[in-house]
Amino acid sequence: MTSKKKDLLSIAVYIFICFTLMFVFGPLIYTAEEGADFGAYQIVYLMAAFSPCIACLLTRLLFREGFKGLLYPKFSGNFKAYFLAVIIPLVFGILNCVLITVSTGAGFTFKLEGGIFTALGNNMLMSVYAYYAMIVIIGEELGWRAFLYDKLEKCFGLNGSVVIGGIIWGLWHIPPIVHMGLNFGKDYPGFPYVGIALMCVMCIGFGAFLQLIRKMSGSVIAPIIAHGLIDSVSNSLATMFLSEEMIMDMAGGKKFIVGICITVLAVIIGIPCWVILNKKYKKGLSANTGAENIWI
Amino acid sequence: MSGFILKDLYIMRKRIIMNIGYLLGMMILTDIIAGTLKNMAPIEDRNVIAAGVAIMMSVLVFMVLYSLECDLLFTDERRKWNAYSAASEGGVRAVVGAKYTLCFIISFLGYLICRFNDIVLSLIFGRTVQLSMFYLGLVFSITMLMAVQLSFGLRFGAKYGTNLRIALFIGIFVLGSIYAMFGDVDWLMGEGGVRDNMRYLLEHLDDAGVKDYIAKLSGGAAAVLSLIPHAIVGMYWLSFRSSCRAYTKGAENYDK
Repeated sequence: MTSKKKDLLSIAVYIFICFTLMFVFGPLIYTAEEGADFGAYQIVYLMAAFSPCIACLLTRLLFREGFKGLLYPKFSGNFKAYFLAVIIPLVFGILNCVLITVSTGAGFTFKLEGGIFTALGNNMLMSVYAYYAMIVIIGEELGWRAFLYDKLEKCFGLNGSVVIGGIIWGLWHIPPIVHMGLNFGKDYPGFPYVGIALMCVMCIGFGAFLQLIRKMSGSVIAPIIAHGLIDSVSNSLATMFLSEEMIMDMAGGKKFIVGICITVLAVIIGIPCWVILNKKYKKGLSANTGAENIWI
Repeated sequence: MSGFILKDLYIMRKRIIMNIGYLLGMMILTDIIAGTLKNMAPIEDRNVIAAGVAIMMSVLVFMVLYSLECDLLFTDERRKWNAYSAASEGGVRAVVGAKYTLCFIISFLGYLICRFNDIVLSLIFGRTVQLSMFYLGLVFSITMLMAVQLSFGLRFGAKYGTNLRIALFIGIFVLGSIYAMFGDVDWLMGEGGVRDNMRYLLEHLDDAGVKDYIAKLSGGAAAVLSLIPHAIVGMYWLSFRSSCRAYTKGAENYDK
């Protein structure tokens, strides 16, 4: 079997395992009533959330690719990548905050009881929660950035990996989009197809950014940090000027507007990252930051 | 650096296997006891039993793993090795970095063991037991202790580091006792003080409970509280940098 055929086969196996786990266990979690509490909840949740990681490990085992250096951090000489991994999610959160506040007509006033200090305190606390989020995100990034994008790049080139990888990553979110209205709610025209399509666009944007810092650092740790911050601090910053009622109202129609804002910003941030990716890494993989090197 | 990590793991392999085996044995034992207690206790007390067992186990896990991390300092206290390793590829940063990375890996392993115990307890009690934020607190506490101990241990020798730790604990205990006897403890034991807060946290020690508690804090208190983990991360980094500088000097204090 040629190397390309083997890579395509490993991608197919990876997608099969990853999507099977997500589509079997995901609905059990996302259709459960709020506050659902049952003994096997955590196992079911971990199987769904860590499905990319499980798929990556199983596929590597099946194809005898080994596990060396999977989570190896490369801090020395890669300060810029780690700096971007922290700063871009913060910029994204602030821009998101402006866009959401303007589009929902909330006005730039701290509406939480306690004003600016409570809002700042909440955001600071979310930065602590980011450590926990990063642990959960290992389950995703080990699959997407450390496996799928590399394999796709070998088969379809850099641009193909960003587009196809983003679409696969977006489609993986179908269970939470359908069952709990992830990011876009459930009250919008074309539900759930429009939401799924927008999710794919969002994932292409974020995918370009995360893949850029992955290549810059030569390690999957940088995308884990960035993804963890996006899921925690960015979300918290985005709702800084909204009242508690409005945040609760997000579950309704306004959630779609918020989802659109996030998608637009993901594309705005993703495009320059994609351009840089093309400029720096299109002609083969550099010795220090290439995908091949990650397994050494 | 990975070579140095593997070297430490190889030297300590027996201790690591024994300790992890001991922890798993204790976990099985405590979970069996918890399962028995669950059947005997009234329904309203079952949450407290589950949280109590999880806390007890997590404290044991982190105590054992902390002692394992402390032993890392003793693995290569030889002058010739010190000079050889400092001259190897990667230099001092790789040798010292391996110690710091391995300490972090061991702490993370402790977190994973505790989360595994949560899953087992959840299956026993038929409800979600998840104290991940509490375990993260323990990880940060050990990280803070190791930041101090590693830098002093590498500079002045492992024995000095151990003595420093003992002195630190005794000092904190003595000063705390004196303050408890003669100082103003209203903020600690009074209404709405630390004791009340601790009691609330123990009664609601799942992730949702911790979040509710945090939401009740004032903005300033929340901001200060949330600075602590970041400060510990910064402290660990600074400790690493200072250890890199002091590593070769530290060899002068070795016996051999």
